[in-house]
Amino acid sequence: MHTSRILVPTDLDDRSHTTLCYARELATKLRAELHILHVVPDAARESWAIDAAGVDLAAITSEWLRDADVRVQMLAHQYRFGPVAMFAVVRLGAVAEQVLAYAAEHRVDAIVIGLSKHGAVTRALRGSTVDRIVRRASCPVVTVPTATPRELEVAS
Amino acid sequence: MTAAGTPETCSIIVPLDFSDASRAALRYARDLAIALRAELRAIHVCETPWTRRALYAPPPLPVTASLFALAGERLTAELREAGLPPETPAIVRVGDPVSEVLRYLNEQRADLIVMGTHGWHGAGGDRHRLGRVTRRVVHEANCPVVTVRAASPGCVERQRAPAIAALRADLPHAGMPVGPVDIGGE
Repeated sequence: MHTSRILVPTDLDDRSHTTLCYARELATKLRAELHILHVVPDAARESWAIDAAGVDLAAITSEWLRDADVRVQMLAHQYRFGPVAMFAVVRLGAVAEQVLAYAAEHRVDAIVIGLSKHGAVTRALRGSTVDRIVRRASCPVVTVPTATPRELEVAS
Repeated sequence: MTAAGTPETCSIIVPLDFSDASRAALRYARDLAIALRAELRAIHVCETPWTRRALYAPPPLPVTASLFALAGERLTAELREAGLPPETPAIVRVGDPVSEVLRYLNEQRADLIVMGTHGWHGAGGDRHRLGRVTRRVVHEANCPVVTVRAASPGCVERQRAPAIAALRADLPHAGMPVGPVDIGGE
């Protein structure tokens, strides 16, 4: 087992902290690169797009992309640590598909992904993105149970 | 586990059901344990028909004892085959795989679980489905879980065939056609 590239998909919300810390720690110990990936949805494929006649969906999407790029770069900067090489990437499309495509293209050795706790019923109904990635990834996937900063405070 | 779930002092649990995916997981866990200087612990959970969805405690039967011993031997052999030292902690439990793995996790205060994407409960020929046990452990464990896929689908089929043949020989109604189904699958 040689782990040289670790991929961390993030949705940029406040639950990402646990996952990013864990991934960074793992990358440090395994001397791996860390690739932080955020996937932006295509505005034209959003459910409201049908009613949005006259709206420049392409312009909205590129605005989202620009915004996401800044945020991911900031995140990578914020979590930069020691010798770990960081890459901040933004992609357009469906989350699971893009994560898997990126992992395959860049020969990622492990995917570290956050997992929020839901009841069995919610899980069954929604069918989570994480499940799809775990099922389809050809590399090992590390699922990290996550919490918001507030939840972490209460626990400690 | 620390609050942030970081692997500082690490102990890794690897649940084995002797399927190909669990074997791949064992090898990955071994390498990860070396890389992270972590302690590795193996567990096998014997499932008996009445532990599957039991509403009552399993009655102590003599057959369970022999199953227990057999599982212990297999577990030791499996660890030896993976090149792990004989002093590697390994435990056999009887019960529901998910709750026993989670219970062991809490007892040992382990930091990480490494397991196959699907074992014998399997994915009914679709290797992109997630096993019932793995799926529940991923969602219910309060530590990170690493899921490892068996090397390749071809490899799974090749290695599984003798197991099915052996099972067939043991069955009283031997000769019955056994399709490409998972043993003990859903």
